[in-house]
Amino acid sequence: MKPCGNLMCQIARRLPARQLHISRRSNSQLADVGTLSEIEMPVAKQLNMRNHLPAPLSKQMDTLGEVVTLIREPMAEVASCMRVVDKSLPALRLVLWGAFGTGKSVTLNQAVHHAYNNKWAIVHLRSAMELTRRVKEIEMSSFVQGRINDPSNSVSILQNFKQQNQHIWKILGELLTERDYEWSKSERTLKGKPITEIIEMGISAPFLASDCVGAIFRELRRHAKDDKLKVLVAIDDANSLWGKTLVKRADRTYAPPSDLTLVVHYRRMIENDWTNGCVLMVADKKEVADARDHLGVSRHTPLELFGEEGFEYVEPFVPIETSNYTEAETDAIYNYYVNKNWLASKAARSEEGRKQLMHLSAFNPYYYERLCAFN
Amino acid sequence: MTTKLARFAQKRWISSTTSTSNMYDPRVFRDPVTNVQELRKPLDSDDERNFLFLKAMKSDATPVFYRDHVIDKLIRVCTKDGEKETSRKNVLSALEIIKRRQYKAWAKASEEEKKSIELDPFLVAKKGIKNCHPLMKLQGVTRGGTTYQVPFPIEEPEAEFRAMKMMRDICRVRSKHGETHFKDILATELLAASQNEGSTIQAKQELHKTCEANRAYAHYRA
Repeated sequence: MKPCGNLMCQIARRLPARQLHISRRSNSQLADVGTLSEIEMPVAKQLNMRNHLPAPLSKQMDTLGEVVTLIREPMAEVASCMRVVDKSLPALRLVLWGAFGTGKSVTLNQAVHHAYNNKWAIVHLRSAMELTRRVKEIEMSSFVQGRINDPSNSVSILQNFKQQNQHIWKILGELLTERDYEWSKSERTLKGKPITEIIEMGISAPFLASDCVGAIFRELRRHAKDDKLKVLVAIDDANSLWGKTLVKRADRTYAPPSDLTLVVHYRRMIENDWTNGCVLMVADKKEVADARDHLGVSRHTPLELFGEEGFEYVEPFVPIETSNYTEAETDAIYNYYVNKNWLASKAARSEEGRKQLMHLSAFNPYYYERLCAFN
Repeated sequence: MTTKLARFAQKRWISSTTSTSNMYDPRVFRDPVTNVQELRKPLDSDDERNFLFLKAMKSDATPVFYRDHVIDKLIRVCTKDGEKETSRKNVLSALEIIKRRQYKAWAKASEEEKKSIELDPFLVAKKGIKNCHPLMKLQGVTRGGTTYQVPFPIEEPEAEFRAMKMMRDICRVRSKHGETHFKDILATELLAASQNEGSTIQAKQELHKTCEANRAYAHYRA
């Protein structure tokens, strides 16, 4: 052990001062807080990071050809919460909240990667707002009177689920359905079939997909309760599940979110009457903020964003606040960019540039990245 | 509502004259110091700024490390309807696009080729604009009832302005009706111009040809 330690010391001394330590631990442990961790490209591709990361970062992933993110305090908290998840405990609900650009979505994506490393099942929704405001086509539900199905979103949810869970697809294939599902007169899934069949059914038949989403969620909860697998439910902009919708009913009024089948299914997933799972939600102000309102400042606390109804529903939860960078964190990112030669101008690579980048962005991670993008 | 009104008034829609009076009385106001290095030094004892008022610093004179004369001028030239913020966003995103394209090429290139690829978008843009500088300009001169397009020599700052204006007009036409975004086409043009290619360079050469053809009118220069 000792000679090895000496060797490491020597190597460390020989490295230039600005050399980075990107941890490439692919095991189930999370890298230390304050270090950069890489998500390998094939994994990022499987987890569909291009779609799920915020747009500037997904562009960055395309340009730099790698996904390197900084492990920060909130992620460590999420990871420690995920560690205690157990079949005897009800589903643990975590709400990520914080000001714009402080890394809520990035933390969510890191958590998904962490779940992947630990071989959990992943239910990842890019934005709950898509279910309420970006509904391309609607269909009335044949299962419950008055519910509105959303075939296109349902199919994409199922496809995404299939793609993101390729690492445990075999395990999912061994889990069996609890009862007969009669989707329509001719289509049915019998009791004792693998639950992956439900997904295939939904993908091939869009008009059944909304019900299939409900069924697969139900089966996942049941199998999690039986300790067959652990489930991470990661919902970005989760407060939109209690927000306003742009779906019109036949009488031209807007349907409340509780009438949308997918919203109901996701709310059901948030409920904590099941065990062995973790529900990670993001409270984002884009649901309530008005882009044309230059004067108003909307609050970003969970109570303000979820509203009373939503707040009562998700309570009790563990709030996890994301915040701006500290100086050490900006330095980590700065050194990474310098090492990758991403900061191209001489002025940005100087000491003066380093300080100015910090203060011009006001330590906000989003603006820091934006400033580094053109320098 | 008030913001809308304010923006409406800002565009000087009603008044068509240039402003004759400044909010700063030239007798009592002087330009501020915007350079940080200079700011740290004490003012000379005979400097008027010791006892006169200072104008507020302009938004494009803030002492940020990426302050660049050419880029600031390009932002001003590309501004439409007084929306400088929008224009700044466009130009800076164009720089970002240039950098991303160059970085991708750089990452793919071999060790030797890497040296020849310029990653700094500011340098690329500056070189592009520099390559577009025209040597002459055409100006209408009326003699005996006919207007002749007479070639005139131009100074460096005007050449720079005309280069930017040519590029801006080409980009505006291309981005009409949402065909492409202004930033995308501006990035493409700047990159092409830095290698002496592209429509702006063509427009420059066209201008040179017309100047050459009209050299007979040169004696009309007053």
